[in-house]
Amino acid sequence: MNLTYLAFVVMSAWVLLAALYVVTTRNVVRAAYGLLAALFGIAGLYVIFAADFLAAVQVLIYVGGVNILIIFGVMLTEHLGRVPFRLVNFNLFPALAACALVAFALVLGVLIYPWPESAASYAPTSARIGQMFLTKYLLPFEVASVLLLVVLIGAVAVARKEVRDE
Amino acid sequence: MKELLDQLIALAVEKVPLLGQAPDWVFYLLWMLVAGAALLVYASLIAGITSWVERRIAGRMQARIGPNRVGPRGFFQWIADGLKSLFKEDVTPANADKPLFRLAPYLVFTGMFGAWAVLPYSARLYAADLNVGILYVMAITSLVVIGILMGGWASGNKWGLFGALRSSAQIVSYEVPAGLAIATAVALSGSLSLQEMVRAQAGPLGILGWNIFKSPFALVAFFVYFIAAVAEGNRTPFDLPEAESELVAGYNTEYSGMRFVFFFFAEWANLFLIGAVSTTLFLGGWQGPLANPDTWWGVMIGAGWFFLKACFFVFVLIWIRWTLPRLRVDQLMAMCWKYLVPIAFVCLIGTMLWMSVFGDRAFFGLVAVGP
Repeated sequence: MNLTYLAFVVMSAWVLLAALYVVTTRNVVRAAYGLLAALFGIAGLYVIFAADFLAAVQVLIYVGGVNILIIFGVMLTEHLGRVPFRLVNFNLFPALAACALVAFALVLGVLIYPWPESAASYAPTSARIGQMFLTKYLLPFEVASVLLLVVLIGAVAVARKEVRDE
Repeated sequence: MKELLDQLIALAVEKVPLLGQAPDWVFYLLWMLVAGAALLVYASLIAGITSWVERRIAGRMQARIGPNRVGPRGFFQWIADGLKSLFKEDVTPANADKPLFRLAPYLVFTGMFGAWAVLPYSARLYAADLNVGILYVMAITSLVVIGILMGGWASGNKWGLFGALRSSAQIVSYEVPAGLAIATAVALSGSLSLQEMVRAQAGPLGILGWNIFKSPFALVAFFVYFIAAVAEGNRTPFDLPEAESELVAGYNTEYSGMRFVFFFFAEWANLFLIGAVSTTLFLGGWQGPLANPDTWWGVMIGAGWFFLKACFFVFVLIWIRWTLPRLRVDQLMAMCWKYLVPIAFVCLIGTMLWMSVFGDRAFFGLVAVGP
């Protein structure tokens, strides 16, 4: 058993346990912090797979941005962290259907994609990612940035409306 | 430093043949432990001494004396304070979320200290030269926000919560102009690695190649970055998260003993970090007269330049703190979103246009450099 494999197993276990904690804890704030641990673990997985740029961006965006917003939202709810809520939800069949669909898509993707057989090369990736974005994947890149712009303007519009109503 | 270590390892393997059979990762682990311990000592020394320097300068600026009893001119005050805090009772409020309350100072500390691993102290003196260095610094320091939010919330105290909310709103907002200003420096240097960025700033006289002199837009971007970094460090005039007159002490109100010191350790370590990153991005890092990455004395002079430049920023930060009054919350947000962000965008686009016209010429396009 080589060390990369061991690191992968440990890191995956970490991510799964953290995710499990997020859905089982009754404390909303702690769930938000559990999500933080899971997202950090995913950055660790990226490091193991030699995706250095992706790992840094994962921490920057998900830990430094998205998760902070989630914690913000949770902390501003009433009765901080002591919201009684049921963990078991009875929408069993829609949930099962959604899970099955996602699992099917994932398994199909893993089976179909021609994965490279060689071990990951620990070469810097950021320069190549940049070149790919501006050549082969220019259209998806631009579409994503337009989408983000729309979201930004939408957020401003929503925030402005409240001010005008006062 | 890596080469030195490789030589040491070769020597150790030669003396103790048994070591030759140990797998590579043992050496890597050992290397990481040694580098981590060395950096921790360095960071602690700097943070501790900065705490004394800050109090002395504050005293001088306010026409009083400051700590001057322990040791010559009070130099050992920081050691006395550290020891005192170690022996103080570590109080956890009954109302607190105990595990999170205990964890928070460590997160703040880790986030701040993690960034020290990639700082280019000199051409050969660094713990790691990551290909995504500056992104790593931005990413790992976001742990500080998480720690502050966690500590403020877990205290179960309204001052703590308000301080934490203000702090994270401020840090997240100012991340935008800081990121754009950093992007300006990255565009000028053509790399995300901190060592590469410093190497790209070589030029005549050792100073004319600095990013700050490459285009007028970069000069403005430097000030944008510096203001944003001060705000991200929760320093006066942006110290709303711990505004004594309104919030008691903000997010660290309930902390005592060593946990309290961890927050302040992070604050003082952050001063040097702000200085070091500003230096690396815009002021040529270890570049300077007589600094030369190829000879050992050139490397040492480079390390001296880096340290001097970073210490200059530490002094400026202290100076600003004890000179300026605090902003209001609305002024703080207006300054970020209405002024710094547009200015930073103009700097980024302007720098790109400038580079397409003047290329890599140094000193505002007047001096030709290059290999």
